[in-house]
Amino acid sequence: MDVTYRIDKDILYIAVEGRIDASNVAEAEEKIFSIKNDNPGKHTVVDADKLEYISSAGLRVILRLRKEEPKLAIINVASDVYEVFDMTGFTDMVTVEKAYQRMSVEGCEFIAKGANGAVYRYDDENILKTYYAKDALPEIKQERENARKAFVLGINTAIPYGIVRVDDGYGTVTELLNATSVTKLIRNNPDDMSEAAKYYIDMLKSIHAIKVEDGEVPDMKETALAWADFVAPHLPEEQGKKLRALIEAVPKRNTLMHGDYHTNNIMVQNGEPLLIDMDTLCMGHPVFELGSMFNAFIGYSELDHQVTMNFYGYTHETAERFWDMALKAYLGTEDETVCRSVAEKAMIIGYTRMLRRAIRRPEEADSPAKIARCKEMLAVLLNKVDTLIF
Amino acid sequence: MTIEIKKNNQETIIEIVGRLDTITAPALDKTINEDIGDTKNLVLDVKGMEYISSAGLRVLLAAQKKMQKIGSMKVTGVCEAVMEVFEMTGFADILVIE
Repeated sequence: MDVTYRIDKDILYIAVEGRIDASNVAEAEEKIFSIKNDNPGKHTVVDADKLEYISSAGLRVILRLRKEEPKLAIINVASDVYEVFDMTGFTDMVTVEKAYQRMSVEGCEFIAKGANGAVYRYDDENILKTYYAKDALPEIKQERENARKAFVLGINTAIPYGIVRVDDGYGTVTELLNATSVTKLIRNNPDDMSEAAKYYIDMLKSIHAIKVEDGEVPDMKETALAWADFVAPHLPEEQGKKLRALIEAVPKRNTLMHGDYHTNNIMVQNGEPLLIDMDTLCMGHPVFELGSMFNAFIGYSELDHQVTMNFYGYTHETAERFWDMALKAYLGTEDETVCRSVAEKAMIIGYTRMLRRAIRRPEEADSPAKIARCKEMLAVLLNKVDTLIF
Repeated sequence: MTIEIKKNNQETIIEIVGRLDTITAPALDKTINEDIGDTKNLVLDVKGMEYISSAGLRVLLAAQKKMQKIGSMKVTGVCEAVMEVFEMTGFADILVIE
């Protein structure tokens, strides 16, 4: 039996190794409490990664620890030790987290690489997503929580059902979908994108039909106001003021939005659209969603059309036509004037966001050109548009 | 997957055996929507269910929402592997599991 500790981000982790039973419980208790007393004011977590056995005498030590630390958590608990905590009712009193199953990507077919991790086919039924960041656990939990929330709200999606350890990092396991993406549908038939557009917009509408409570997901209006405040000093004073006033005047909405709604994120399975990647869920007026869609199809690749090809595998011209079709389908009209007017509102949001992004990345070679383009477009649009509401 | 329906005075019991996945979930959905009449208490007996996918969870969620309005629904005989999925996905808090 051994007791060690480490402090990470103001949390005191007490690691208990080996077996705790009647023969050594007094020694264990002494060690645990002296560590605790040497580190006052820190939230305490018991790391049971190497704990093999705990007897009822050992459980009493945990109880005494809980008296001093009402929010005590025990993590990395092996399944037979977990059983002891479960049968004795400890799992109702303290947070007991099971150890994560270990998996390896060795020999697994590589599927895709994303911004924060890579995806592998684990077996016939499951895919394994690994995260680049070693401490990705909070991010993973947030992503899972978002997926779960979306699922329960009625959005068709696959929820990751397991968190696992992969090497010294973390991963998630999700069922393997027998699905194609909207991106592939477009790629396969760029001359007739009506089917792709239908799936894409049906899913968007089903997301936008959902109302969420305040605080459940971030409010995009607040985010957009922060963008406006950031870019305003870089614009002529009148334009900066108008930009802020336009966003300020958008009514608060509790409409659920995806936040990063591009065609790679929509799969089609058995004739139904299915949403993946939900770490950007937010709420607000749909103009904010359309703003990020404009960027995804046109804005980000306007100055370098190869960007579209690299990201989607279809041409910039195809992306422009798809954006046009999608907007018409979303608004339920073929009226060019109406669509153009809504697109211009979305573009104000899109260019504001891109301008901020480019200003914050002075090290990127194309930032000056992007900044110039955004400023030029905002000057035209802000002169023309008097409300972002539609 | 096989589905069997049993009825007694108070409740309708649907026995599910096998895998509830993308292929089989629509059949269960159809059964719950069309074949249980005006039952107020639905019991899903899943002791023979060895696997559940998101599509299966979706059917359970829809059934839960439907039954909640008119009566109750409970799930019985959950095996360990399926229970793990329920717990991981938060369904353990949504469903009534016995």
